[in-house]
Amino acid sequence: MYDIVGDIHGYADELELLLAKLGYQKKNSIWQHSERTLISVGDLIDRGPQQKRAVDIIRAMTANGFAKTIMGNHEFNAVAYYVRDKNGEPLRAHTVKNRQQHLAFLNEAEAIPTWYHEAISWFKQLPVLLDLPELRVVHACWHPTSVEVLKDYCTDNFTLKPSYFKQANDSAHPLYHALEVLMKGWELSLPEGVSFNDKDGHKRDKIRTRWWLEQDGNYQDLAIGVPDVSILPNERVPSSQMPGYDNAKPLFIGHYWLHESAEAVSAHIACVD
Amino acid sequence: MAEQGALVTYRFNGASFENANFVSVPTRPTGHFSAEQLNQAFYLADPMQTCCVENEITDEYQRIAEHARALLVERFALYDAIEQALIAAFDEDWVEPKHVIAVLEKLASS
Repeated sequence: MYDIVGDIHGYADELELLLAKLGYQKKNSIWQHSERTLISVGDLIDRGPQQKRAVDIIRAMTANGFAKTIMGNHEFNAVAYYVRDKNGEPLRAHTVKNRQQHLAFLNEAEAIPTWYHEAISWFKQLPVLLDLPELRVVHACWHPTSVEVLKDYCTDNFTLKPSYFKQANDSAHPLYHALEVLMKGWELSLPEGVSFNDKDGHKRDKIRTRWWLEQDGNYQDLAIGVPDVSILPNERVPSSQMPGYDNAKPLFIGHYWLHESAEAVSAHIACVD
Repeated sequence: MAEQGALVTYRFNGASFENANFVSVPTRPTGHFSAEQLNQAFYLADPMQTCCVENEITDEYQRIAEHARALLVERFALYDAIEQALIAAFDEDWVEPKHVIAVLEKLASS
């Protein structure tokens, strides 16, 4: 069976503590369990103090069949930051903001160029989602329409074909929007004329949502990351505007940094971040 | 990371969700385990089977814990710090991953 681990974000010590707590052993320098497989929901990198070690642990486990790993938005961004188009321009602009968000990883990766290259090559091979017989895993939101779009640009195991990374970073392309939903979650436009300022003071007219809520909610119920939800309309959001979930299998997501006790967010969906 | 600074996993066994199956360890963005915490974990794990627990020798691993703490300050990874401190005190051939993991397990449960 499976142990589904949330966003590691470069916290390798905590990962090894967790593996020890879960009864994993280290043999031939690879963490492993005789009966269980680790599943990472992605976001191995950025933020924490041990970027390379965190990647190396999970990468070795995955390469040897002791883990399965999907791509989080941070791995996707790392690929886009590294890969250049035919004009030599990075797929993700090297702005101060983008570099700052990626700095913990870059500080370690740029010091070891061969490792950096290998890590990016591995990130490129990560599937965007897992649809196993027992369960599903995606970084942020399971959205069948986006999954269908993705199928046109990926292999049978939902790995993005390398030739489509440019389209994946083109906001005019359907693949970009599919990946936005799958890896960053479901956003909802606020009614005409309604906006709020986020924690950084930027004006927003869309909200990130608790898309997994099983009952219809209003904007206040659904919003994530809005400093004061009372400024949002108290009107019901039509279910047609939300992705819903078919409840066919348990689904595991990460990404949301929910400041709550770890628990299932619905009867069939658990967030491990 | 959920739980405001924790690395979380869910132990999936095929059944419906149970809160007891969520397992987590807190993240430590600043600071790290103290020598006292490390000593307690070494003592309880008794990785080299000195029988310190049975004999209540709570400082059996004190110097090793202090060495591990010093290595953490030098920015060694936790696993490596514990391993190197044990190797320095015993012998490289005697120290196995299971000894390090026993200490990690106690730290994770503390």
